[in-house]
Amino acid sequence: MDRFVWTSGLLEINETLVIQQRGVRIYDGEEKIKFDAGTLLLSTHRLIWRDHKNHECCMAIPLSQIVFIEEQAAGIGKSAKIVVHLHTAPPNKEPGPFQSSKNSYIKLSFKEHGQIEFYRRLSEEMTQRRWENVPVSQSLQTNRGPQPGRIRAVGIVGIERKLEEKRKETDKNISEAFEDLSKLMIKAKEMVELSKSIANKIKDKQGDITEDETIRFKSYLLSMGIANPVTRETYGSGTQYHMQLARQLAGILQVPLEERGGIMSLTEVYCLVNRARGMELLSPEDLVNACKMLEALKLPLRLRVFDSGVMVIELQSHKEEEMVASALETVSEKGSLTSEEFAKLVGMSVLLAKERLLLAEKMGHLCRDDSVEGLRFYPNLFMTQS
Amino acid sequence: MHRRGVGAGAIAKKKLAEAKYKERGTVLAEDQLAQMSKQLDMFKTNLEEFASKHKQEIRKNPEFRVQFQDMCATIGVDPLASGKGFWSEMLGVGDFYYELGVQIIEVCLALKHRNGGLITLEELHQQVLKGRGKFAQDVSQDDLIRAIKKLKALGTGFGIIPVGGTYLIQSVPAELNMDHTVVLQLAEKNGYVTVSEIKACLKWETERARQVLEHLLKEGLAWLDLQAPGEAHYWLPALFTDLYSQEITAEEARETLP
Repeated sequence: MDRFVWTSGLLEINETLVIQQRGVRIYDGEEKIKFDAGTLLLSTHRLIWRDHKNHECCMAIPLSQIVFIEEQAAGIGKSAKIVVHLHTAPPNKEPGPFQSSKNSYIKLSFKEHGQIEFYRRLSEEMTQRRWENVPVSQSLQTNRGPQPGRIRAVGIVGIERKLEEKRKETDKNISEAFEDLSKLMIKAKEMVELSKSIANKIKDKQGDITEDETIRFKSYLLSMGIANPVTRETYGSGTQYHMQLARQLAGILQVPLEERGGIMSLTEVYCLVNRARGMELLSPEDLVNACKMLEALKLPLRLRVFDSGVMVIELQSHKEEEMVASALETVSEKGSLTSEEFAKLVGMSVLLAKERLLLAEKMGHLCRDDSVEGLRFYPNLFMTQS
Repeated sequence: MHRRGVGAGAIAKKKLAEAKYKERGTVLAEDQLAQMSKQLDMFKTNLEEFASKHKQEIRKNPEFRVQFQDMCATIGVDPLASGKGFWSEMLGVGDFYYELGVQIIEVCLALKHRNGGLITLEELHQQVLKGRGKFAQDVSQDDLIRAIKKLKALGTGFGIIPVGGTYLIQSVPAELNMDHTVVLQLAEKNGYVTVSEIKACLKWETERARQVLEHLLKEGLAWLDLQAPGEAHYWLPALFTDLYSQEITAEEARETLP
């Protein structure tokens, strides 16, 4: 812990920020110290830590001081950590939080996660050693790495051996997993080939295949995650599963739709339904394919796609064109409105408010005033006043 | 002499032959479907075995997840296409990514008023991690990208724009063409861009530069700073990082003003 130096936290010229992560605690060896909540920043040259509450409390270690790093997986009640083994501090080191320390390593505890990405980037920087090519001010160049004749820190050889063993063990696990995965993929590929051959048969026979067989085939494709080779869509016009799903959705969404004026964007529906489910969530494609069947199944909801590509679910009883008439009234009352203002007045999402105003414009009821101050809609007086 | 093939008898014979051929055709498809059904059952068993040994690996190891996804893509399989697929059900990959999708949507919605619907992958990553809480499983940036690619199916206008070694994530259906993207990439360096900079670096005429900047302003992706020294600065809030803009209190702000 005595390798840190106080710093302003500002980057030098030629020093670039690589990644940063909030919620990091520092340990001196195995001991907890007072630096328990800060933001950890990785630059091309240094590892910087800045306290959340007191931004003046900011310290750094040059990357050249790092011997190697290890990952420590999270456990029950324990956050994932990165262990950073360090060279001894050089004699001319600038002042820092600790004058001396008996430990030659520190631990960084990621209480708000982010350890995976940080470790990856730190490893990259350690490999690339960009600080050697891009010089910055002298104060950062405190250590050029192991030099001939330097005494290595105590215990490093033992640590390196342990690391090597751990790497071999991990490699073995990974390679077994990969082997099994490769074997599995070969079998999966056979399924893909088979489905292509069946699809070709279907194409050749051009409709001689029964409805029943088509449904079966589509459900097999669904299970495997294979796109329908005939129509190129995933699952074409849907499977039994999607029909069931469509009926479920009609039940779940009736009340929420009524509460929201009869219309919801597909994004809102996705979040609502999946939050309610908790597990066995729907994929975006599941939702879209189910919604595509709503009308065909004569359910009280329908899928609608606006010109902009925005997709919504409407109650069958909802007539957007009628809503346009009331939108025109609202805009006329206020003289003019932006999407945001209209959304707030009516109690809709800005996205859907914009679609309604655009539809009104398309139908000729509203005019737009498009400027850098925003898109504003006015009643179309060209139509109403001759 | 009768010519062969002509006459009622020949026609009837031909019809019979066609019918028999069709029948055999149907039987062939039926056979193959039965075969596929059997192979599917076998595959399911293999997948179950794989899951029992390596499900944790997928859950915990983001590199393994990447390998898994890439291999699936190579053979033409999309493990995330449906929550009802084997992969999703047995390996649990589905729930992981679909839930991530929900969290991404929520973060983008919450920050839209600030950045107009454009956010760096880094900031999105940070915010999602914050929202997931201490006890949730860590996610990598690759995981986010995959989840976002799936979200595109919802017609939401989700887009992924490469800028300077990272990505900007677009979450509103704003029209962004090549010109807009290039200017965003230029702005990534300093967080803002000027007309002169665009003209110098991209060799555009003033009018083209102005049009692009106006569009970004209208879409709420850029803020206009007329008090900057020299000429107007167009700032991209999506590109602000902690290092540029520390959270300061109202008093601190007042103190710094002359």
